Amino acid sequence: MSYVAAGYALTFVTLGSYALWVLRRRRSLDRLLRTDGRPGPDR
Amino acid sequence: MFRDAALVAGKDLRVEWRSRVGAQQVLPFALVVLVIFAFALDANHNLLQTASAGLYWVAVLFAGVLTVQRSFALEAPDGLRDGLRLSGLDPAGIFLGKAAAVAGQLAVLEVFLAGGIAVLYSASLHGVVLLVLSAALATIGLAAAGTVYGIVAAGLGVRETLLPLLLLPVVAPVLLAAGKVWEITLQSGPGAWGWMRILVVFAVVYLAAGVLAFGPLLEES
Amino acid sequence: MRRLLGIGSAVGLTLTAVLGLFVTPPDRVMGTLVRLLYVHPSVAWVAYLAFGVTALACICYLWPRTRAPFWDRLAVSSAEIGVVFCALTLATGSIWGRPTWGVWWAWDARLTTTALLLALFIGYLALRRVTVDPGARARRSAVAGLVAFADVPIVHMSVVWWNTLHQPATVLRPSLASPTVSGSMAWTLFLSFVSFTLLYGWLLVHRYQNSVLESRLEDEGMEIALAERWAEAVPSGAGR
Repeated sequence: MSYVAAGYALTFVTLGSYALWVLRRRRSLDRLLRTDGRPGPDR
Repeated sequence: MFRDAALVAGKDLRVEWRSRVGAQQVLPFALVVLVIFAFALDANHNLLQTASAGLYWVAVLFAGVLTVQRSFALEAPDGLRDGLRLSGLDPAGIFLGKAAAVAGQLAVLEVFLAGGIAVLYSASLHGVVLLVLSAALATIGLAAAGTVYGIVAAGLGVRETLLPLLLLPVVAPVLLAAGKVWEITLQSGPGAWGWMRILVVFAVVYLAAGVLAFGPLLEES
Repeated sequence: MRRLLGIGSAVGLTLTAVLGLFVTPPDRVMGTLVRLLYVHPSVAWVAYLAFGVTALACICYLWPRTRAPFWDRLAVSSAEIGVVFCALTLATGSIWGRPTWGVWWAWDARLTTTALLLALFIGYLALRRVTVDPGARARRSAVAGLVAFADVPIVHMSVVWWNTLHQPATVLRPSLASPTVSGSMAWTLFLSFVSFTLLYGWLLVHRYQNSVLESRLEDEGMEIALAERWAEAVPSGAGR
């Protein structure tokens, strides 16, 4: 029985973590790309 | 295309002949690998003899990776790859030439390694025709696949580590099939020809891939 | 669309888990282990689907008439997801295998080919990470990805041959078709395939979006950083 639990846990934890990682990366990319609101002197 | 191939192959082989890297470094390395296997398997005579075909091909594979690395290291210094691009040589010819040079060096290596397993593992080398034929096919396939991945990884700083990672999984079928043919032949068993088919398919596929893909890949390496 | 995929997969997966773990009956032969049937085959299917999409995207990228950055980004997104699912396939298969056959691993055709597939695409991702120029990266990895994928049938063929020669202990007859699937089991199995596929879709859309942003970051990142440095310098210095 524990094998089944291990299998399900592994699957959902892994996929959940990956999904979270993708979303987190999205947020940091958004942050990095939105910071262009302060142009320098000659722009 | 073939004339260009001969030119490139000649150049690569001449460089190798003058520098003797293959003879002085790669061959000893491959022989050391054979020795290390003996250490790993506890010098178990029977085991080594039974496994000699497989171990032989693993050693050839490692030596093959090094030979391909070397083949592309020749043009790594500044401007040399540009020189190759601008030379007007047919890219497919360049591919065939480089692959042929690698194959040639590997072939020589394989002969010596065969002597190695005969001596170190007491493998009895009968059925020479099958051994040579399968080795030839396998070598062509290895050289072709190696050259394709060599150009893919060329120009990257991490070529040394990336090339083995890319190449070894891809040539696993060659290891399998060639090892099998040699194992069967060394033990005078049946069924070697089925495995030859795989070697043929592999060689054809990778020669074709190289001829088609080398041009565009060379353009931006 | 994205919302639909997200909600669909979340609901589907939750249902699958509940049904799979609690509601469906244990198998006559396999006992409770059959519950892994609702996870392992679907995950494997998604892995193959993902790599198939990558291979197709590579072809579309290399074909001159359809060449576009879209295919390159699709290829890497799908490949990354494929690697995750492929690793998971091997892991869940291994977890299944241990109590069923007594071993964590067996060298049968399917397992070995899948393991090599994982290695091939890890190499693909490594190649992408290391190549800096976007155009070169797209072209090289398209070739590498395609060649890797084309290698799979050769690998499979050779391993099948290899296997028929040395028959492992009769216990190891790795066949996932052994349980008799009926009733609630069949529905749950179907649901699990659908749910994991929906999850793949959701992940693909989001990962693709990320890769678009990454490309923009590559293009504009330098200018943005410079602009920030300029902005920092202004307060202390001589006029705007």
